Amino acid sequence: MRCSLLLFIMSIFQVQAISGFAQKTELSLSFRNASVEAILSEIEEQSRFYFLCNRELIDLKRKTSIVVENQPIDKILDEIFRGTNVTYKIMDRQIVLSPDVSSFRRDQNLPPQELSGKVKGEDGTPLPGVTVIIKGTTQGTITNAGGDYFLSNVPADAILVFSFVGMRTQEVKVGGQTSIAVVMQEETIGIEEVVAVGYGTMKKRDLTGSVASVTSESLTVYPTRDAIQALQGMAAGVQVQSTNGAPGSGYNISIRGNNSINAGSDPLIVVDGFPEATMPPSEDIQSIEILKDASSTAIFGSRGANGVILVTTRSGKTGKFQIDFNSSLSFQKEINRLEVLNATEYATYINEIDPGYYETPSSYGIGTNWQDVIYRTGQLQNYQLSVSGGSDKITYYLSGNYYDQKGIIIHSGYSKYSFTSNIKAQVLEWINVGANIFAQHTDLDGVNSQTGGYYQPSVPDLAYKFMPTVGIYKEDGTYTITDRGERADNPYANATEYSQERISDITQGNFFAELDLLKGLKFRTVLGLNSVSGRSGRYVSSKTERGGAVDGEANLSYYKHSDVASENYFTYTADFNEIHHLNAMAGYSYQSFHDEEMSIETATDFPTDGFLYWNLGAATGIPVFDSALEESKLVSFYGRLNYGFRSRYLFTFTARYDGSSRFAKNNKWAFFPSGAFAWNLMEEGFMAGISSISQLKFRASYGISGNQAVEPYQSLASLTDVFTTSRGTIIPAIKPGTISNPNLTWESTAQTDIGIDVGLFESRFTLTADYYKKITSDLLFNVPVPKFSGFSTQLQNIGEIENNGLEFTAGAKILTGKLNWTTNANISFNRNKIRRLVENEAEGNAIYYGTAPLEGASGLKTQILKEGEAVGTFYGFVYEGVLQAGETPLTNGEGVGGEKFKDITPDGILNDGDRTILGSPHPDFIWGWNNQFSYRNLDLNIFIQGSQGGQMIDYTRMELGIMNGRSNCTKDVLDRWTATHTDTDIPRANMNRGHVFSDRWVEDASYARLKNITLGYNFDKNLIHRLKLRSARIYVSAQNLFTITGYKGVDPEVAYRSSNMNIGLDYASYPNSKSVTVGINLGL
Amino acid sequence: MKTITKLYILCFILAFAGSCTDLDENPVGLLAPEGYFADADDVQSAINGCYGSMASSLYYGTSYPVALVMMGDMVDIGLDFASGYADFNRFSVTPTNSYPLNIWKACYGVLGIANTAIYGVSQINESDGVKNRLEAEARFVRALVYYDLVRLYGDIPYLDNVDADINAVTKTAAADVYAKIVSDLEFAKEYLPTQHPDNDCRTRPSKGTAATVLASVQLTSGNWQEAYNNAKWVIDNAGSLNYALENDFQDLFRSDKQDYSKEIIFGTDFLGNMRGDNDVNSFTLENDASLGAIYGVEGASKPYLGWSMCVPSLKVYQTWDDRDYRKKVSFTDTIMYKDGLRDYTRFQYIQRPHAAKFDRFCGVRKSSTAGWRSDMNHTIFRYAEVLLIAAEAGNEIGKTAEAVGYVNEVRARARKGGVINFEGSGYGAYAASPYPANVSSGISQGDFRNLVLEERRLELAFEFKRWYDIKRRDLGDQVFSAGGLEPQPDFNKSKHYLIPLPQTEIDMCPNLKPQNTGY
Repeated sequence: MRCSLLLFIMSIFQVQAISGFAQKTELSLSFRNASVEAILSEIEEQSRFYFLCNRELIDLKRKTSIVVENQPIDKILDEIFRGTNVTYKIMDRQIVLSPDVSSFRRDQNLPPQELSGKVKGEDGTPLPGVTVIIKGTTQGTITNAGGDYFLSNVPADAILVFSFVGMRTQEVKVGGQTSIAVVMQEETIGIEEVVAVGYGTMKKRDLTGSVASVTSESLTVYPTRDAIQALQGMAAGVQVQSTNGAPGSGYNISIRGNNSINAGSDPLIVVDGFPEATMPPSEDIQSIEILKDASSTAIFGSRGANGVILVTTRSGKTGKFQIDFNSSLSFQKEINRLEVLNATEYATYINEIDPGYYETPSSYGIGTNWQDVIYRTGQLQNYQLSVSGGSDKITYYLSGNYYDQKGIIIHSGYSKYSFTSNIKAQVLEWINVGANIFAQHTDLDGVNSQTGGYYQPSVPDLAYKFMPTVGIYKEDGTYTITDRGERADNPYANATEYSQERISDITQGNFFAELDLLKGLKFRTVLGLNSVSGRSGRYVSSKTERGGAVDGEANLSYYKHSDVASENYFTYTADFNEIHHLNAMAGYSYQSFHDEEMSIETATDFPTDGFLYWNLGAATGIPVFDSALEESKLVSFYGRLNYGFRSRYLFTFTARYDGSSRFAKNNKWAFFPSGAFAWNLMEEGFMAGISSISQLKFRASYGISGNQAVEPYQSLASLTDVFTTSRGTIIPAIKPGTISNPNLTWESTAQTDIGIDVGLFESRFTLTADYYKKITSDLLFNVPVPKFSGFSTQLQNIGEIENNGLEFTAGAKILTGKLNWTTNANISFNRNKIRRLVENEAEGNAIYYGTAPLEGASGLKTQILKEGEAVGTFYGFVYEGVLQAGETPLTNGEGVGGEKFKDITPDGILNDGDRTILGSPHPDFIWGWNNQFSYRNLDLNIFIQGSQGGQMIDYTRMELGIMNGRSNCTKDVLDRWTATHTDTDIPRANMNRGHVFSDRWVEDASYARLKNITLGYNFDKNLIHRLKLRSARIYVSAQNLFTITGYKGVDPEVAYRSSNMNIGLDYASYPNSKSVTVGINLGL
Repeated sequence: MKTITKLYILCFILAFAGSCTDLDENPVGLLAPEGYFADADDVQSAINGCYGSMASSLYYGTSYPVALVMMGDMVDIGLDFASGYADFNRFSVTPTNSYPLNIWKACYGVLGIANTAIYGVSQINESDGVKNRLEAEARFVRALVYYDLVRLYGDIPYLDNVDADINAVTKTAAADVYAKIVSDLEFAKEYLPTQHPDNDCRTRPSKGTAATVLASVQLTSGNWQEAYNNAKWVIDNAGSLNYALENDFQDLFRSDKQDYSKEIIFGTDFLGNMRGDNDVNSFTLENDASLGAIYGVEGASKPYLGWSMCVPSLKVYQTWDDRDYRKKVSFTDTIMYKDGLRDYTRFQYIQRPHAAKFDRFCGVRKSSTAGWRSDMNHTIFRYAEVLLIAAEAGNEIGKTAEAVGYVNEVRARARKGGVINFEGSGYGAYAASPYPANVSSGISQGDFRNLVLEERRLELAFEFKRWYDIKRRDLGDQVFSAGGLEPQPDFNKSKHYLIPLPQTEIDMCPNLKPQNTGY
């Protein structure tokens, strides 16, 4: 394979070597009856020149012929435009084409009162040389050095057309005015929208795959921790979900559903060509492209199956020095609370279980509201300062960002510093070099959340469950602890006496060189270095229940991840007679990963709490030390061929051949092909007369991509250590760890995509729709082996799941006048289904598993993997209310006043056979709707996002609703069954009740949320120019202002233990926040 | 000129792309079995891995002893956490209950390590003396684990090397398994040291340990003479083996005195509040001693909570003579609550005295989860049992007079009383008492047989010995009858002396059929 690829590259090289090189400024052209456009683009190909022109004024479709040999550019242009009114101006590499202004009548002596005005650029500077013509006539003028123009004999109903190279042409109705001022807006005319695809860019109209683009404007609508968060609701098929509201918490992202059960579903993130990189802050990102179908992702081979997110960071522009400063300040409150019993209600309830436990319940009054104790107003500040610009040879972009968050729970916070710098230089006429460098430091000061039960009590968990009858401190000044159930500190002590800090540092650098080798042949090489390191420390003070038992407990761990990537690829473009367009890319890459970690856990018995985790030598309790190293390599060959026939029929073929050290020895190499076809109907003759349709394209693609789910060394037999002690000392001990599987390989996903892109009325309305079907096979499973072998399982490739869905993205410029309203909406439907599962031991072909973190719920099964059902389906008993007097209780079930469950296998016994499917965490659809309004200096953004039809297990309410006297309860238990109050769905308090998982705790998690509303004001240009500013805007915004949901927990937008198998779970999350933000954007 | 430069660059690029890359993995820090065993220390590490795995929650840490005490008549179910343990208590275990599988899995996991260690012995270059000692230790472990397996499941797959073709394995008859156990133990007895070189470590085997287990195996098999011989050998060599009874019965159950107790012959070592890794399931950890928590009083405030899961029936407490110091050591009948000292009738969840041996002085333990991961070692054999084996076996071969002496040794220690001093619990110091009196010398063989079993029941109360006594002496119908300590109407002796083979194992490997009778 490798050899044939080399031959292929060599043959390209040889063919092109014959055709000869263009000289630095001398070009050779040979065209017969070709369009001007084709000739100009050939000149662009051969040289570093590029053309700017107004298509409305320059006839690029005009056919002409030219045969020149080694001629300078001016001679060639003279030849091309001989006999036309086109003039040109060469400014360094930029050639501006414009109509000869002498063809206009130019008379500045006429009385100015007829019609006059000033034309300025966006930055407020007067624009000379702007063409102003009266529409439908040849009458017109050109602005003078001060940007002023004068016209006479203008009919009152005339329309003025203002045009200028590099600016968008504007039409203004005269409407009897005598003075019209115009601000021209930048537009690189003639350059179509270009999107990044893997290893290159493509004109959007030539795309054959399904690619969603998100612009920098959408990413910075409201302050976000990172760009992943900003993607939420912005693109069809992309589900972004907050996992926890804690400062610094991550977001889950999945593209077109989850492709795996045991492996991850995170998409591959590629930043400026560097795979598996970290995204810089939203403010430093120029654009994000999301590759969704196999035709787009297969070029990333064994890492493409979960979709690919391509991030392009900002860069400087030639000749435009600018400074931008953005800053915002937000105030945050918890999005919602859970109402729990007050002290009197709690004491009354406990006395029902344990009579006399509290002497006089009413004497406790309201007691302590622990949620009041732990919550505060959070604060978030974000600052970004960037400097960019460039000369003709060098462009640069430098940016610094500082983000600081004070959490809404006491003693929690997060801060982040980052720097982004992008530099590109033309060192020789045919060589560009550059670097993209990103560095980031984060510091997380955390509190416990989303943990509880036997593992570790957490602050939100305790704030709900801790008894309200006591305060923070006992009389002796020590912290109060639970007197029933698991012994735990109060939430205040948990928040303040656990010192938990996590810092991380990222340095990511990309160095590239681009070489123009031959006509149409370019080569790009990228060398990337990425280093991520981090440290976590935790100290549990001896004042706590946990730390007190051992005189303080400390943990400290370090990790370091580094990888080196080298990407090298050729691109070749050719155009034959304007009929056949060919674009080929072929390359080679190498990436190596190195991960090391070291941890010191459970150092105990400290002389003082003052050392935290910074003097582990002072601990007399012996800690557990651990360290590990993982290394892997990925070597790839890849290629793509785009062929277009008259831009009408477009074909794309890609292939990647990946060799990974992680794969088992019999399967080191993997091949991932794809193909796509698109039909641009607008290029067909029969569409010519239909002016209302501006775009119509059908797309179809099929391909295979992989998920490199195998971890390093997973295919090998190994010995692992066993924790073994002897008289208080840990001694060396090992055991066989895993059985080898020499055939272990990637999970592969075959995807079919059919799509359509429609644009109406000059693309005022756009619609993109896609249908896809993905089948992922060779899913990794730990397949059971007979236990008497000494092993439990062997990792094998077994199992198949399917995702299919529909996606729609619609955009409209609803209002385009003074009041401008642009709207974009997307909606995605995905269906997830297990097609084949590993033959499972006891449970037939289904796998039951549990995730309840609750006290007394170990081993409780709550979910099921079953063929025909979605991954992570909820499974349990059906709650039928309270068992009333006179009804017969089930064997193993509760008596009168207790929980009554449906006896599905009607045998009078409550057992595992009575469980059934209770719901699915997968939403029916997710959607986002973004609206941008502007009116004069005001702009308004309204962004609504939602999820419909998914269900959620509310473990928090399950824990608080058990009523067995071990914790406080939610307020709804006030309606509990008692001898005198029997007409209710809430069972009686029962000390011996264990956790039974039923649909009582499964809820609809649908929501629609006003994610953001921003009102901005742009200061008047005249005002800010006096302050020497380019632009200035202030805004006020609110995030998560309101939510429509029927979910009874705190918030449906959370994810406890988030993974493919565990979705739609809610437990003791750090609440998401509502915030109000004020901000400023300054340009200089 | 420039063309040539570009050509050079192009060639360089292509040469780079063609360079070979090695995709083999070289894991550092993860060892592959081939090539690992180089010297004695390597084999010792594998043997140590057996001990660590035995001290996991699925085996001696929790599951195995809990299943045994549940089946016995000394412990009844308290709070039922719907975990499957209660089925053992009620004799309603099914082949799909998770514990027959878990214990099976844990046992064969240890056997896999032991066989790997024995394979390791064949790989190393050491003297025969060193090799034999290592093999003896690994074979001791193998014998002990098979002894547990054969008693629980009856006929089982017997694997003694690492190369077995799993799919071809069939069951070995229990009698043959016993023969292999005896052979391993005899090898161990011959080549193990008289005292463990690590300062006479009590959680590692020596000659005496092998002889003790051999005595127990022979007793179970009804080979009275062999049982007697081995027990007698241990008693006769107690000096050189460094075995003796503790003075104060309570001290056997103090985590800080166990490590050097002369009475303890073998146990699993636990280190409090520490945990081993288990990536798969955080509830099945190495170094996970939970007996304290499982026996402890739920809801009590001092010193720790418990789970009130394994709680003796009231009759066990009521029929035990109050004058016996061992009763004080064995029970918690009062405990501190938030509102002060409560007696068992006012315990919050289960109003019965709880077992105290593993809970009261279990040392450092994980406080936030009711005191699991305690420091308390789980003793598997102690010298008092050797005396009682000698007594029981001796009686069967007609040496009743000598046997009486062994029981009296055990009773004499009980009479000494001792100091409990459990803070705030009402348990203090206990003076010497005339109870339990010496056994009179004229006792008949039949009466003595019953007496020694009763002595075992009390002396070894809650120490997961009772079930196997019931099984080997076929006491089930008697002790689970309405008049017994713990009536269990569902007990069926033709079925319940064995637990079922795990269903999933039979499904995966039909060679294991038939299932044990009745399941």
